Amino acid sequence: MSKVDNCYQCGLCTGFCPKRRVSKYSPRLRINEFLLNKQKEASWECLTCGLCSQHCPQTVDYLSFVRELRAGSVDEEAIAHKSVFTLLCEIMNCYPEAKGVPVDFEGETDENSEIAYFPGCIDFFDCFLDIGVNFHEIGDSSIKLLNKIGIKPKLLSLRCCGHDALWQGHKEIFDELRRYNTEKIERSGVKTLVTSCAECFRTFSKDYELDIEVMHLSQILEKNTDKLNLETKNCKVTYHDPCRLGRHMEVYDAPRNVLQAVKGLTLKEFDETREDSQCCGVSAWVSCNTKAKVLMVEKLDSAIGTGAGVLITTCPKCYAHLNCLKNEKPPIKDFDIDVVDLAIFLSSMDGEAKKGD
Amino acid sequence: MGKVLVVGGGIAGMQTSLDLAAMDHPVYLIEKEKNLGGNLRNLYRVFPTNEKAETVLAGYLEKIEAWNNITVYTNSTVFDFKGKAPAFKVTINTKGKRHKLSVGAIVLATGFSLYDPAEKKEYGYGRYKDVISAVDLEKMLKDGKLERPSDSKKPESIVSVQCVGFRDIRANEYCSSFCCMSALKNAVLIKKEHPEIEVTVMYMDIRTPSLYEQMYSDARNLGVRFIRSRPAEIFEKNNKLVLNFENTLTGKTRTMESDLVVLSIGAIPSSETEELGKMMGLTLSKTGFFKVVSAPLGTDVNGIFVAGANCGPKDTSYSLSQGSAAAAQVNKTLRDLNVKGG
Repeated sequence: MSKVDNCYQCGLCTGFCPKRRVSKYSPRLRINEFLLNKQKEASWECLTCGLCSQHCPQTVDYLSFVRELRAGSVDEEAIAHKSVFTLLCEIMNCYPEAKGVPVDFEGETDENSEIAYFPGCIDFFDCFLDIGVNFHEIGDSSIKLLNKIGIKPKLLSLRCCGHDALWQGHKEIFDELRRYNTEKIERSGVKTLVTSCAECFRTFSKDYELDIEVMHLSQILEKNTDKLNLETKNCKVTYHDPCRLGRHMEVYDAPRNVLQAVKGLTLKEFDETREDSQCCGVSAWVSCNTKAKVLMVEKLDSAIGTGAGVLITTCPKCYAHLNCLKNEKPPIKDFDIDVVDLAIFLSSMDGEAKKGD
Repeated sequence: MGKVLVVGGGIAGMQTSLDLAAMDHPVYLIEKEKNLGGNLRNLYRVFPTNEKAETVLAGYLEKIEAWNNITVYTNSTVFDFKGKAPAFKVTINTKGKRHKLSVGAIVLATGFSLYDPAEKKEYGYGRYKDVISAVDLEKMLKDGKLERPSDSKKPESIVSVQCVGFRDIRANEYCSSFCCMSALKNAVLIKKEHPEIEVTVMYMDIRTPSLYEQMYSDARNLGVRFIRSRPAEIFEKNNKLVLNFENTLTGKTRTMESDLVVLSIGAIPSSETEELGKMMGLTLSKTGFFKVVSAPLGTDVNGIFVAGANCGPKDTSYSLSQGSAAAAQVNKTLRDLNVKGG
């Protein structure tokens, strides 16, 4: 699967690895150790951002390699927030009668719609993360935007998609979540599942075997930009490609096309963008530490360097991590940029001029 | 009827033509460019002899000129092809003018094209003036102007990056075979003439088979530095180029500054390979080069032979040996078919 046997130890991966800037982590060495000693110790430093595999001349799938290593060897110490989010998933799995995530969102919905919307587990973040942002708003905004393009979605109260459990090595928790969700999606009879979360999008698309179409919110909006009719005044924004939507799923144009359909908006690109986008610093709550924070600072600094006043992302996790850094106590420094989720940004703008005038 | 068409006037095609002429076969040598020489024209000195490429070329041109039974058509390509050995009917196109030729056998010596290093965006070729290709370096050495294209200053340091676009499933999976030697040859030439210049070669494996190993020793003895790595990216900072890489022998990730970076590029199939293959019904290998169907140089069609780098990357001396071998194969085939030479 991961093709690590292909590796001829050229070291290109390590040259690209964001972690190399803050640690001695070397994907090449990790593979070498594995091949020579069959060392099975998991790789908790890896961001699973995919930048290395993107360039690997031997097309080694480092992401699968890391995921296989992590499976079954969970390190609770490496997981942020005392692994509370995964614990919640585990509890849900233990109670067959437990419902999925709450879906009390604003906007018009239709129980009989063939298009479903799943907000993901964002409401949990609101309960546990005090970083001055409102995750619930992503759900409200997404439904509002879907309404605007003429879709009244059916709301699916699934359990967590299992993304984090899977990448943390909790294979059995993931399998149970997948079983539950797959059954519920199949029973719902929907034909399209829309997610506003890049991780849900990747997981449902690649790690589930669903017969229905899975779309990221930005993709369905892209097909209907004519109905959005959004306008702003001299708003400069930049867009961060989350690794799950970008390199994992190769969706680069959809969010950009949606943003560029907004009148009065200027899209400024990062120096390293699209396929070369740098990770926000953390994935699946693994290894959120000082090293991760250095990468977050670099990310925000380069966003500010584009001249934009708003950094837009399509993954609630990037949204969380970068806002978390901005709210660090005591403050690291004053980052003069807003970090906003695409859905929130689009639905809140209606005629209102944003920062960055 | 003992006439032979040689397609391609590079080192292999010229060698084939000379050998065939000496065996009394009249030769039509066609070349798409306005001059004979092919890729040899891009080179400064050829290894392992270190002879000047232009001296080698001049020698060939003189000999070809001396043979009455070699007819050279430059600016010419194969337009149409019919028949079978020993009675091929070939139409060639010379700047819109058509000539019909009847030949007993055909040798394709169409050579190779060079990989465009701009495809590896992360190395900045075309974006940074001081990132040049190995062929650009040959030209600089030929012109006696070893200087940075950006400010015409003599470089204090030069890094040669090997395997650019080769041994790479995302570009060309095969090894281009001559780039290690070509880089070592140039490193040695530079070190001998300018010992003060720091010359570094970034490599994955140095491939110097057989007697070529000597060049590797020479380079090391002259103080050329070797770093085992495939650099991730090159960028410009304070008028210097910065390479970002992991030294895979020490496991340390480093950045290194250099005044000039040379990207070692190799051979890819030339555009006419596919075209001629289709026209003549020849199989190509999955890398896009001609496939040798019956050893040593036979193709799917009896009477059509390949030689040189159109059936896989080759250096100058290997290409000219194949050119010679192709002539022998043609001679043997035409004799077997009872076609008299001359």
